[in-house]
Amino acid sequence: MCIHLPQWPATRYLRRHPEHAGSPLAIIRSTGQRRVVVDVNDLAQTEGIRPGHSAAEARALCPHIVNVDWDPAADDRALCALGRWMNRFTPIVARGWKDEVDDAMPSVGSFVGATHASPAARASHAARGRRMRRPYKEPEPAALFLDLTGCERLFGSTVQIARHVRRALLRFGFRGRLAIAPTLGAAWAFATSSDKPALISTVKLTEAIKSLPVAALRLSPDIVSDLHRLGLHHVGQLLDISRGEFPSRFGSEILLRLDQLTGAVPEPLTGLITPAPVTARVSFEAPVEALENIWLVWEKLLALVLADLARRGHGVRQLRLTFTPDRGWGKPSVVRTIQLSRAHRDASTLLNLIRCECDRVDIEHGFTRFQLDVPLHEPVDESQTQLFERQYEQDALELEKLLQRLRGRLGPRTVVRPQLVESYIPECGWQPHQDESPGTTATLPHRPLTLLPMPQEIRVLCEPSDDRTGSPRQLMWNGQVHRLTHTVGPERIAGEWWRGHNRTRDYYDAQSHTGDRFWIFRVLKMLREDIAANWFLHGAF
Amino acid sequence: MKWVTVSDNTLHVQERRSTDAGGRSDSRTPSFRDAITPAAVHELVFDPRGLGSPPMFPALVAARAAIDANDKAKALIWIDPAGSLYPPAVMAGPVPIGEFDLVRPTTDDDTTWATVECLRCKQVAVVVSLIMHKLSRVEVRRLQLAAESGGAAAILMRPNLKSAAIDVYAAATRWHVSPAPGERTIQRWKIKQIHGHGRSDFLLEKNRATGQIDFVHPPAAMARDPLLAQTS
Repeated sequence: MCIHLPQWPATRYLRRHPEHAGSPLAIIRSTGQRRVVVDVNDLAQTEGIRPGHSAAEARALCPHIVNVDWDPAADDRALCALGRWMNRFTPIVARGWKDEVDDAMPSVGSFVGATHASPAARASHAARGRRMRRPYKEPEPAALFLDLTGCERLFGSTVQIARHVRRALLRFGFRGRLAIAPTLGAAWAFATSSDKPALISTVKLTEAIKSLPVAALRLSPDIVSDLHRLGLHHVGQLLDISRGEFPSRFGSEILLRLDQLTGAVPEPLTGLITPAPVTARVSFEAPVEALENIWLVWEKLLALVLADLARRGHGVRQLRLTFTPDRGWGKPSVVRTIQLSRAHRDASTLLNLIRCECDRVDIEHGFTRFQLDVPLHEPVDESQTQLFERQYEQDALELEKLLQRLRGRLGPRTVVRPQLVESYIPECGWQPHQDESPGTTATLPHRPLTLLPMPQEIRVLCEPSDDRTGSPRQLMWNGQVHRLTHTVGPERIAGEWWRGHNRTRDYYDAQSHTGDRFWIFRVLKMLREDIAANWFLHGAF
Repeated sequence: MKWVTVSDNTLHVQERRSTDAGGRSDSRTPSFRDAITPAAVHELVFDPRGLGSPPMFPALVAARAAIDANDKAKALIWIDPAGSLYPPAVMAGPVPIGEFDLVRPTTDDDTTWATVECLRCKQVAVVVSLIMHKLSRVEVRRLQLAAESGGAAAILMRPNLKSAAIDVYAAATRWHVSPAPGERTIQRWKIKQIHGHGRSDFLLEKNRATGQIDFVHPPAAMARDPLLAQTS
């Protein structure tokens, strides 16, 4: 069974933020300088906005559109969560398909295109070149595949399962298109080509696929448009042509997809892996009150958890400690989370971190239940830590341990590794480092080292000018007058209007007579028919 | 070498460099280069009046010198309790550092504790810390011992308070840093060594157009110059 979820990014966002349900919504993705619409909801679609438009076009078509940044990782997580939920129908639920076509294709092109390429191969090579240059790339379609082989007996019939799935999707607020077919390719083709649920049996498959459009074949858009130009619109027309005609003109892609559709080439489903949670807990009849005993409890629990992780070859990335007091006190459980910047399986390091956490927990009445969870764990490279380079490894770990200690006492948000972010707004120019996103290495314009968390309003005397855009001459701040001897500017920084930040700032690098260098900016605003300027101090060089 | 002369209330700099082939400044010009040693505490004392912002750029230059002097560790940790450091200017500014770790403690005790903890780590080359509060004799000693045991250089930015005369320190070098009048594209700091060997004075120059950094000999006239003298 294939469950195709159209408009997945928009649907997912609206489920999380129901307040935007009544307005047109566009999911935006930034590629370099361009901001492209990735997905829209129905209301935006009625306004004429389509994926592939730029953010400015979308705003021109519909001024009150809500723009949201695309979060592919969150979309993926949500799809996996839905897939895990679908596990109640079958043990094998796959997200999308494993494609080997894309890996094989460039090698064909590079072999043929270099020396004695046929015209068609050269054309397809050029088409691939076009594709690579094109900045807009469609997001992967959201789909779940359920292997229902043998599961229909539990629910009565496959139709019953389809009914359950449909009802569940409606309850979740998702619009899904369902199709049940003997092959993955056919299920996908029937799910995407019609809104009605389709049930295709093995007997009817050969006949049913003939009426499918070629666009449902999971081919690249260039090949589909080429086929349309040749007058080939349905799969039946493709099947009538002799198989030898395709490879020289379009490469191996069409034949592979056709074979996958009919089942001549098997396409196994790769199921989502749902790891069993790593956890350990212990309960006592009487509360444990002494700090030393609590440490001992955690030590035992940690040993259990680490033994479990050692079997998997994993290390801890996140630890969750749950202290539950005796019920008689009527107090809620205390939950503490320890974040680690890389996977660890060293008991003494982890125990030290746990001790630091214990110090900050109020243990006046003691606790009767302790639970240690590892919500996040990763494979750890242990080949070198065992034998020769143990000392070297431990040196390298020292910085990690230091940062963990600092995070333990000061809090996770206080200790960060900054990462550059491409943004016009100076305040948005960096973010704490995240593992998934690589930072930009763009060259930075001249920026101050001191940037006030909030710009401070100051009074400034300017050179006289008609439109109040003269250079600053003197500024007053903190009750002191600073005479400005040199100014460099203005550097105009426009606000990112799509984030609701629409004030344009004119920045000056101004030096006072004593040598202090200020970074000040002016915001122009209209007061009836008069232009007034507000000045702010934003930083110092 | 550069000579600075003053006339009409402005500074004029004459290029008279006895540079080596690489075009760098004369090696005889005093700078942070040999003074900022690993496994020691170095203090940049600044005047909290005026703009009152700490001398971030001189601290960054000193930190770079400390990283270059350290042959084992290269990591930089910047402890910024005021929360006003702009990390992109450190990572991609005229003194490129690359990656570093930023710590933003909220209390004075946490600031001192974090500085000591970072200094103890053998993988850290330099810890830059803004310490606005008064340090006790014990804390000062603890900082020094931590730097000696870990091998990192500590660059502490400390305000020149009224009570500075009785304020305690255990630093290998102390520098008084104050802004000096610059030019349209050149920003200057006057840096005067107030503790440690050498007692060197120099001007630190940053050119915002070219991104070049220069250490300039103080002219003999500077001591008599009213314009520069008033900033010290």
